[in-house]
Amino acid sequence: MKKFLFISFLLTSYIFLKSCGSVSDAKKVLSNEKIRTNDEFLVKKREPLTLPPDFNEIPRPESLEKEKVIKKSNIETILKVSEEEAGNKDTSKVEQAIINEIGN
Amino acid sequence: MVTLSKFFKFLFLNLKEKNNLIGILIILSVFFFDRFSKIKAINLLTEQNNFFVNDFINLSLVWNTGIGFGLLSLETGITYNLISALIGLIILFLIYLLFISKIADKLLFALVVGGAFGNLYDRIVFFAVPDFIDIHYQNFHWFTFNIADIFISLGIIMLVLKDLILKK
Repeated sequence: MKKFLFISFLLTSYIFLKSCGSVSDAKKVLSNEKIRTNDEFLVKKREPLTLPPDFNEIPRPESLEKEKVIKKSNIETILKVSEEEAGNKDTSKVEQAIINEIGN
Repeated sequence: MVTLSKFFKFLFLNLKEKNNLIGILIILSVFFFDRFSKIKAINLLTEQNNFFVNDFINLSLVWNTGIGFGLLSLETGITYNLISALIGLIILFLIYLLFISKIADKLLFALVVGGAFGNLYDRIVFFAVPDFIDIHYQNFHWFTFNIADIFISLGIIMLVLKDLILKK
């Protein structure tokens, strides 16, 4: 009986003297829920944000797209001109053929 | 009140005994080691929330206002003070047991009392106990604890085992 009382006292005092965790943690452990406050993969401290060394050389947003549009429009104008030129050449050939026929 | 004065008189009279002095030395060593670890942990973990040690141990600061396993974590002042007073009484009784027990038991009781003093100090000064050792296997986390808890657990487990196995 004395032994039982002594062990009971030790175990009761163990709960009172010890200070660990919380019931919510235990619930998370039992339900296998991830505890978000503990990031076991966090090794390196995050560094503050800084400007890159060649910041002025970096193109501005959408500037590349504008260049593409300009190039595309240039190509289109060139193609149109060439088409017109080609068209003119064709018509000149037809005209020449008609003239030749008339001449014959 | 009379009982308490008798108790302190008993402590004072038995203090000079060599084995009791060793016990007190162990209590102080455990207490200051615990305080040192807590100060270091608080300084480290207020700068960064978590500190990675290895795949199984993280350092993560949690303030516990309750008792073991997060029980009785209540905000009310009266309950908190009552629990603290009860812990104080348990510690006094453990010191009494330390003084009347044999040398092997004295060492184990000293470990428990040293750790208990460490946690009681935090309860009085910070109104909460800082826990920072987080042992886990993958997503399974054990209760976060501190150095004082290690000594308390060690002392109590050894005392219980000793009582169960050795004493008839």
